Amino acid sequence: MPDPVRVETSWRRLQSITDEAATALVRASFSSVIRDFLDYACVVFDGAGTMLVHSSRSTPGLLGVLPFVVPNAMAEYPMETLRPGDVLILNDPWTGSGHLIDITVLAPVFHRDRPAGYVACSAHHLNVGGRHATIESRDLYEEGLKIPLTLLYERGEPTMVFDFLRANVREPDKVIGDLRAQVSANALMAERVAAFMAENDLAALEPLSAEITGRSEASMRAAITALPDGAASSEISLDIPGLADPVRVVLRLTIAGDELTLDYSGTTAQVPRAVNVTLNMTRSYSFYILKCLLDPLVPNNGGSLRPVRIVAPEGSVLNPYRPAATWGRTMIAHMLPELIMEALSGIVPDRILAPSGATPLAYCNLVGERADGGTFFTIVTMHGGMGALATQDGLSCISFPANCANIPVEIIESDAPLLIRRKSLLPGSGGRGRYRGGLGQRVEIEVLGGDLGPRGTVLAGLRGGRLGVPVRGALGGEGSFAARVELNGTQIGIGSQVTLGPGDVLAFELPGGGGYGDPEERDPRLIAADLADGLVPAE
Amino acid sequence: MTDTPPPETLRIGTDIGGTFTDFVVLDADTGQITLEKRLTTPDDPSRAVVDGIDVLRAARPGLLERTEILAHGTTLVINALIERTGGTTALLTTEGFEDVLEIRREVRYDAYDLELAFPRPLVPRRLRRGVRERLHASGRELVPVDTGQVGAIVDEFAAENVESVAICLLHSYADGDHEREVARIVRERRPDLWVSLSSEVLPEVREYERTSTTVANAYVQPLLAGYLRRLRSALDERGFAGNFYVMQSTGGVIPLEVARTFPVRVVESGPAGGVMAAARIGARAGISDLLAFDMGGTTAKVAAVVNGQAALTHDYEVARTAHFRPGSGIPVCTPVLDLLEIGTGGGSIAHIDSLGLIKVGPRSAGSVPGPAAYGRGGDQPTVTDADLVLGHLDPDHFLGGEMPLRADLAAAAVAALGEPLGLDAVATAHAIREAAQESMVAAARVHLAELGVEPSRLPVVAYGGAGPVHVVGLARKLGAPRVLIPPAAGVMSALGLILAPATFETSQTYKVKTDRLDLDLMDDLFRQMEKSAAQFLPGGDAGRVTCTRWADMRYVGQGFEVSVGLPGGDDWRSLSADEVTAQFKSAYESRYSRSYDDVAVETMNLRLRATLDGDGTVRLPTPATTGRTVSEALKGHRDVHLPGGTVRCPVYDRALLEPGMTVAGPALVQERETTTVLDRDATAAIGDLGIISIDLKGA
Repeated sequence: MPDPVRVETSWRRLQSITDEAATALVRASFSSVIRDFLDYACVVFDGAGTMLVHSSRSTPGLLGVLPFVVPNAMAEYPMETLRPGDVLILNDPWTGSGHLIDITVLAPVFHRDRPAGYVACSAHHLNVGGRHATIESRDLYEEGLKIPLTLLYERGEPTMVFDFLRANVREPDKVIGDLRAQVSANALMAERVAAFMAENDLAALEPLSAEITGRSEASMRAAITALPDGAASSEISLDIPGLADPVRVVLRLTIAGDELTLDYSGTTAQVPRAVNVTLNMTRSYSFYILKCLLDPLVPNNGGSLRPVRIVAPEGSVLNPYRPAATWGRTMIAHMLPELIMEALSGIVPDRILAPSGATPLAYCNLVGERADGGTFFTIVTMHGGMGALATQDGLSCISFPANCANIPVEIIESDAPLLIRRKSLLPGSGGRGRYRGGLGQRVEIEVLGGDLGPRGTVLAGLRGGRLGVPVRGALGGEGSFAARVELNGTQIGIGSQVTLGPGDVLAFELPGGGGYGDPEERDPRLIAADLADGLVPAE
Repeated sequence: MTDTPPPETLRIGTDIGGTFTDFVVLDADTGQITLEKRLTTPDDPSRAVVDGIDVLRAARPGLLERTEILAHGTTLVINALIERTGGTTALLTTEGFEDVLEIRREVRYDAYDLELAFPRPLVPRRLRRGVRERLHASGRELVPVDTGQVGAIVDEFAAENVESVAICLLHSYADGDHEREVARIVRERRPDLWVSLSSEVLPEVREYERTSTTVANAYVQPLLAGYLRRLRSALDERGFAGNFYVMQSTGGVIPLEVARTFPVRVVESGPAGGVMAAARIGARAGISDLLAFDMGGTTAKVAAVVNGQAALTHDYEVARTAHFRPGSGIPVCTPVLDLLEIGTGGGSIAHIDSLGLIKVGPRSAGSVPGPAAYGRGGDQPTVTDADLVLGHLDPDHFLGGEMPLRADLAAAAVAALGEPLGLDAVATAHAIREAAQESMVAAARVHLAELGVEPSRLPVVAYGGAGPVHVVGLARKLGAPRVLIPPAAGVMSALGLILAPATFETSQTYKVKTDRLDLDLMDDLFRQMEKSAAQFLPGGDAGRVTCTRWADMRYVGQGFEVSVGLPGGDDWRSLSADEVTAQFKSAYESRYSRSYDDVAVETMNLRLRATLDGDGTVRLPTPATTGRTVSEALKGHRDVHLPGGTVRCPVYDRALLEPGMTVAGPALVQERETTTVLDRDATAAIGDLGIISIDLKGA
């Protein structure tokens, strides 16, 4: 019998190494994407390419693809060909994490002069050149610089990848600064893992990994076994700006013994808009919500994935052929957890979350030049409300299923010639129910004028934000509205970028979450508290 | 012997804890020490303090008249925040941003847990009011303060019984004029209200964190101010004419007036005292870098001390909802000793998780029902129960025998946990002890890594009831070279109050790239800060005030700074800009194991810490040397289960151990509040100050 104490202590130790690396990444980063938006993941893999542990603060999207990235990398760069000081890089959406703007950096762990495992750090970057952030791109070539899996450092020496990056991206100092922070986070993990192996006299990580992933797998299988066998279906229709027909995403979920299958057959074919979801990303958000619902307490690793099968037809928006455009893929990928919960609502009604106004992530880019001639490249993220649960109201204004923070108003205004005029809760936006959805918010962004304003115009692009798709309630609960965007008080669509000048005001109203259960069953004390706080308008 | 008593200079430290209020009276000239303990009086904590002082006065007439310094540590502020017993508070903020406290940073603190909960904002929505005004990020005024509107809002506060007002306007870190204008109107109309300005409490960018901190300050201010006023007047009536200090969270003591204005600065008052004592005692033993390890009933705390200074954090939170998970609490971002709190104490409950692994905490049996061994109805196995099963604790000598432990109940609870895994009581107890130590080690490693400190070079100073019981195992796992157990480990916080220097910290923004550094201007700025600091420290003449200069620096574009120590006085003149840059790079490299030559470096803030250091003259309590032998300190033997087998271990009475003695492991050293556990390879030496020193590298 394996020594449970030894397994637990080793597991914790590896876990703490990834958390240490995440902290170092944040503190050494150069852009607010990592620092404030917190979109990253730090992961350790064993020598066979199985994910062992990840940083506690990891965004689900980036984390979920890594178990597939490393085996891809190992196929091209076999372990035995790597040497100390080698660092790999990629942002290819198919082998990597789904769109060019996420860059993954990998490094081998050298122990006893041989590669014994991998460490990986994925992070969202400010930009990778190409068109400004927009879902208008029709193929990948419009979207910026593609980095195939290649060496970023060769035996410790930087390669030409840095030169290509510097020549192709906006704000190269920040992009390269963030990349270096990723490299040092990896170096820290590799060093610590090797020290851990030496201390514990481990020849390889695999026996420990088998134990850890075996336990996680068993736990996930037990959770699936506890569900009744059977099948359920759900589908959603999404209006994507610029497309004549809505995109249909179709799911059939099957539970058989200790395995669960998600089959997206019947989903719309890939589209000439930058919303296609590569298979890695489809797997990422599909698996993520199953983990939340079925087995949230056991740490996630390669073992947890094994009992789940995910099928998406080739050539569909959930498994497109190259060179489909992918920048705004969260517009579809973020809807998958909702679709899965809807299918499960008849099976585990007490565990699901009602749909969220924060789904999909609302991400607004504002780009231009400051009066001093410097460029600004600003991201404004904002979140609607989270759906209610069977046991509690939804949280207001919080990221789901992504898990990114907002960039503080004072940071945005320090970087860009913009004034955020308002950022406040939208009373009444939470869907009614036995438990109500969390509230959404209203955000108003004004372009400043005079010497505080931009030189020239400001280009604004938006993706996500629950546009054209109202929020539904769950199990008798009511929903919330679809998001609204206004330019100078007039509602506009957001299929294409908008050019703004001094005095223009772009405003967003993000919906609340859906309610759970019959509103008539709501506790009168909760109703009174909401009224006192002005969270619902007085009748 | 003479008829006139020698003139005494006394210092009193009094620390209010959850259960006990501790007192330490130190004669600064002789090092003689007197201890007193009273039960804490939660309804009015000042009562226990005054009662205790009266007991001490009765035994020592003229006590308060001879006391030059009375330093106080209190959990009042943190308890008020956790238990929500502060005053009714309103928030005045920039119009359009009334919901900052509820919108927070929009991020979930746990990726997989859907049942998330955050603490409710300290100010309800109807008392969060928007003011028509606006500043640009540069500090330039865009919209002037609408004074009429502010007046109208303030007039509505009476109906809501508002006692305290937090003012937090956007970009006030860049210019506080608008906040001062709003404060003037509030004070004009309602001189009875407490007012906290974010530009004074925390003049830093990021609106959520600044608002949260300022609101917390306002929330606890009426309570703390009233308490300190009552305490001070009770002491004055009893003849106290010395300086009254309060321990702040950074480990220095501050005058009462400063504590009253900035209550959030004393939020970690008690634990800071313990770390200060560890740092000061370490310094007396010639150790400037150490890890302070405090393990009590419900939690363990670790803090790194480097160059005699404990590291500080600005990312502090109170009232975390989810077992200490970062991001689940109320941010209070004033500097706090970077103290890591882990849900592993003597009362932490062991359980088997869904993977069949034994885990410890964060659930705690508390003091009621307490560990199974307390015999108060607890049947869940705790760390204390495991320690008892292993023979590390003496059931008849817990708290000096005042509280007998039930070994049978402990063994039953521990055995029941291990049964499904096929483990007997002893094997289970080993697993609990391992899991507890390992979770502390894992957390400590991350914490130390964040500080850029390598654990294998830090001696560990252990205190608290369970600290010495676990410290040797913990230190070995960390690879630490040495363990120190100071005397009076049970009243470390109160002792720390006496040993802590009076401190004043201030900072000044100076943002410039290092190739344009103006060293003369910097020197001027530092000198101004030094001047104002000296005025702030009572009795502080230039000779007794020590000033330390720092610059917060970073690569241009980064969001976090690294603090770089700078010379003062005459050494400043030989300083060059290149040297400052080089020092930054070396500090950066030691934290991130690399630095860059192709990125510009900038300064952000200049920081000054002024300390009134009378401590150099304070003598520490020193045990007498009577010529006793070690065997005279031997109380007996008992069976102790160590990894690898059961050993009959000698048990020593710490009170009888004298400087110069050594005790070879395996052995136990017992004192009233704790037991030091020495494993097979550990040898303890008793130092001059009565410190037990255990060398781990020599073994």
